[in-house]
Amino acid sequence: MNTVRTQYARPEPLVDSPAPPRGDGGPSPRFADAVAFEWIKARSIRSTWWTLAAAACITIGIGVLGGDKALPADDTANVLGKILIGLSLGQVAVCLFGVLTATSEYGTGSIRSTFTAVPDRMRLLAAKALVVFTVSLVAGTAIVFATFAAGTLALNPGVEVPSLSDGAVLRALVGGGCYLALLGVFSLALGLVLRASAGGITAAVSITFILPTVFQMLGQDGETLRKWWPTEAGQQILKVTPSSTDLAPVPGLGYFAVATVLALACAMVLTNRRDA
Amino acid sequence: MIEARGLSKRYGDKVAVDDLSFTVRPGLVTGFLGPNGAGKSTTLRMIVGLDQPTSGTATVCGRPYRELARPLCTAGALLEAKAVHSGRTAREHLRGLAASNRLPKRRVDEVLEQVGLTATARRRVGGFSLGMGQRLGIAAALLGDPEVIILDEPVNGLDPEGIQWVREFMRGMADEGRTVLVSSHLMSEMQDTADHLIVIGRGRLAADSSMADFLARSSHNGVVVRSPHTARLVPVLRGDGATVDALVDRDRAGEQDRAEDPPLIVKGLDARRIGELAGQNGLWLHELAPQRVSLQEAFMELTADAVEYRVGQRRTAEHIGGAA
Ligand SMILES: Nc1ncnc2c1ncn2[C@@H]1O[C@H](COP(=O)(O)OP(=O)(O)O)[C@@H](O)[C@H]1O
Ligand SMILES: [Mg+2]
Repeated sequence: MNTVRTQYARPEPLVDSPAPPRGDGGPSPRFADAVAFEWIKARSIRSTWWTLAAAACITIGIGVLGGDKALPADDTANVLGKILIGLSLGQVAVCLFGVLTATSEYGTGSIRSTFTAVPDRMRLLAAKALVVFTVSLVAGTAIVFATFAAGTLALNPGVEVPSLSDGAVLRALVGGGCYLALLGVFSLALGLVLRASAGGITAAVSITFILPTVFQMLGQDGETLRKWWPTEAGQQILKVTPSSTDLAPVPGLGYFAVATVLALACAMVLTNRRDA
Repeated sequence: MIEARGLSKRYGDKVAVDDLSFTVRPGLVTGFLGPNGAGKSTTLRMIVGLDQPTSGTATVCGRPYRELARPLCTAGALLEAKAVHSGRTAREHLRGLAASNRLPKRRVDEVLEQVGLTATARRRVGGFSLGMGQRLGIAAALLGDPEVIILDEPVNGLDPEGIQWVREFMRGMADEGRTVLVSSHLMSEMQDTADHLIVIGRGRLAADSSMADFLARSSHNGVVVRSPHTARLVPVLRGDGATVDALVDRDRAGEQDRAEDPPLIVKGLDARRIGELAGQNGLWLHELAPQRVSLQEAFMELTADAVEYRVGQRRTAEHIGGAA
């Protein structure tokens, strides 16, 4: 094949003229600008709102039913456990939020305009993680406390009412919000790695919901697996009385936090190296 | 200014872009042409740092795109139509992009105005037509008032009005001294727009030349001649060194059927010489038209051995033995 190469013949006058000044040279964007970008994107898609609304409805709704089921014989730990039982299902909606924050961008192709606007992908993904963490933390804390309030109101007469002045109760509620915040970021990492919504959602539901249920059917091995399973370990923070077989509440949540940071780091490195 | 040096991209065994080197200059509309699958989009993605080249480098204004401090102010790219979350409004999409590069909010309104989307700025992008999606993509590319504008198949699927708008837009941007790189798989889209052409086939550079040179080099140049004396004219012209063929042209098929004097395409002689020869021999001419070669033909010729598959390629001229 012949390669035809000629000089730039037309229109000559403009070729070497200095380019006019452009908008460049202004303030360089920083991390905070990437955060603003991610926040505008997160709040302007509907899935953000319906996933979080679903998490609230499921958790609060089941919390009311659970509160109603509490018995006068139950201690604080049991009563709180029944009120917060809906979190095991409601957390799945928080997972969807985290996953969709990543996969909806890949699905629509808008990840390309995102990466051309902020080519420093580490910065961008850190901003994305911060937004997901903050939104999940605020929403998660609100959901947990609202569930506590609604579930407490639904308690039958004679049932011991858990009190916020009980340190262990407060730890469970504040910790529950933190758990959901970490879960959002954990799911974001899954979404970034898998890039497709279907795959990401399947993985998130399997990890948080299906596999832990399967583990319960596996006897002793299942118990060990469940003990070290990141989301199950993180949920120990919801317990007022730590169980002897599981990790303690705070170490359990810390373990999940470490797993989340590792998952996010892997997702960031992978995304940085992959073609968009 | 965009520079590619030895740019290559392999996907597994498949070589999508093969050792491309070119420079895209400011002040010109540079058409980036090649058949489907030639590697245009892959090249553009490498230029804006989305895909990692297997080897080679691409720079925008002298730097790799991913090292640009404020990328939207240096280069704006439209890579895919409607690559926006369908639930978002046009304004929200642009607001986010503007925030990411510390651009003032008023730029959002300015570019919406510039592309004519002000009235639909608050509607969800999901309801946009393809043309509106393209306009939104162009608005995004313009946000930072960039030096370099990169458009991948911007007129794909647009109505004639939209195509005209994109053409004028590109012309205007180049006239302001910006670097405009626009890809297309259709030559006809470039014919009236591009000043310079970079043609690739199967990932390899096939041509890098001004539009004028590109046309001049094509061997398809010729003169359309119609005469009631074809039988006598053809030997005269051939005697003077011309190649004479019957013009088989879809556009003129109707004429051909009823014409007693089928049009000829004469190569190797210019219109003046043909006219003189006819006059000297007392032969009438009903038409004597130097043919401006279509870019599509020049393109097909150039990429003929580079095209992966050639479907129903039409020959424009067929030899007429004996002539009449
Ligand atoms: N992500 C990818 N994975 C594998 N092959 C790809 C990928 N992107 C492009 N290709 C292949 O590379 C070649 C060039 O594609 P592309 O750059 O889209 O061509 P064009 O834009 O000129 O039509 C095609 O054969 C295409 O199938
Ligand atoms: Mg393409």
